[in-house]
Amino acid sequence: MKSLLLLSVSLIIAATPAVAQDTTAAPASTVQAAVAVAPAPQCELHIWPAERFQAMTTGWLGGGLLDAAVHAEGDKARRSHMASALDSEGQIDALQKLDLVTLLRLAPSKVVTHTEALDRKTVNKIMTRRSDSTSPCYSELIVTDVLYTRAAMWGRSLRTSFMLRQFNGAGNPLIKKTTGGNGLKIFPAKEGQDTTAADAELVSIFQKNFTEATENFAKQSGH
Amino acid sequence: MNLKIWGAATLAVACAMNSAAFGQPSLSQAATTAPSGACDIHVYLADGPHSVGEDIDAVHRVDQDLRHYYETAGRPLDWLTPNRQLTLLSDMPLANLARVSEGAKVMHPETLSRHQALEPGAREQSAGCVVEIMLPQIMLERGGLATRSLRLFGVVRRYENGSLVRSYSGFAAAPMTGFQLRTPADAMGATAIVERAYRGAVEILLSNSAKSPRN
Repeated sequence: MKSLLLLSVSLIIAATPAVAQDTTAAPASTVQAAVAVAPAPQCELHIWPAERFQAMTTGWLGGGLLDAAVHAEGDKARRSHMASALDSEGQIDALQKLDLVTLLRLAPSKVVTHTEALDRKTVNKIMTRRSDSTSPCYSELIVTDVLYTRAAMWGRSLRTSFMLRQFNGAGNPLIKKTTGGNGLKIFPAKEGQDTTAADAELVSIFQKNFTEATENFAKQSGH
Repeated sequence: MNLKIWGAATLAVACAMNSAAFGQPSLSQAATTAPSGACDIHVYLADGPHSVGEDIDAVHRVDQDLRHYYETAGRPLDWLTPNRQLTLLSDMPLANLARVSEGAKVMHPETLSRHQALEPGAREQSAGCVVEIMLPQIMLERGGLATRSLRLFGVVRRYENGSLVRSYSGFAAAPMTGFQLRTPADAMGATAIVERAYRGAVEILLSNSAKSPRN
């Protein structure tokens, strides 16, 4: 008897939304579609890679012109290694493997990638959107610089600079800048050696730098 | 004894006919039919060179130097286009450099990105020995206090009956000694230096790939 009562109550409850939908004159198929497919995000996150790579080694001479001259050939090679392993496609690919939107604490956003780097000189000057998007909820993540350093005292590390620009309505964007930096153990491979492990490490540290940078962005926002 | 020689000769002819029937040598730029135990060489190219550099006082953007060279020459110099790479590589002893005995040599005109070159798996499905030489990146490099050179990134893989038996990915650089491009008149000399450095870097890369212990 109890179960019969429960069944009839649940039938009434189940029928109620259908009546409500009917009053709004929405066809049943539309309602089902809306339930089945989550709406596409209204927001967009556009990302651009860096196009400037620097390698700087300081030995026991403590920096300066003489130190730079001693390490010039090695730094030239390391700069090219970075530009190769972290070419535009490589940077975009590395970033896309991360949950960018969650890490950046953005509203659900569609990620749009640009493989053509922005001119570094214009990045701080142009305050308007760098893409043609007119999305009302729009952000830009720009990788600005990639720097390898090796210091006699501290060892090797990779520093990456990022800029996040959030356009909320009209006017200038909210701009945040930060860097992430972490140590390297394998990169660079010695001349002529297989570079698979060194390149993989470089990409992984690039990703780690981004994760670190997102924490700095959060601190800048007061989170 | 004579019977043995006759048998071996028949087998060699049969192998040669068989390999022709499988179509590898029918590719447009294949060189010769593979002798027994030889490796087919497949070469894939870069879309062209890029430049990475800096002056004493400024870090240059990727390709900034290259644009400057072309501006100085007053025209696009079209350095190391895929067609030019094909020409430069066509008479190089690639198999010898990679330390394999050469079978058919196939120069693929389509270019690869670094990302594509590093994708796992053979690009060519073939029985026997196949060596894939992928040269997806060419960089003209310089530093404020360093000499100019040309650096290649390449991936060399060897497959036996479809299984990967050897793999190498790495860099090789060759100096661009004497390079200067200050007036349009320097363009021809500079082009020759770039091309010589390219061939030199390919030689070094293949030699490194043969030395590498990584399998």
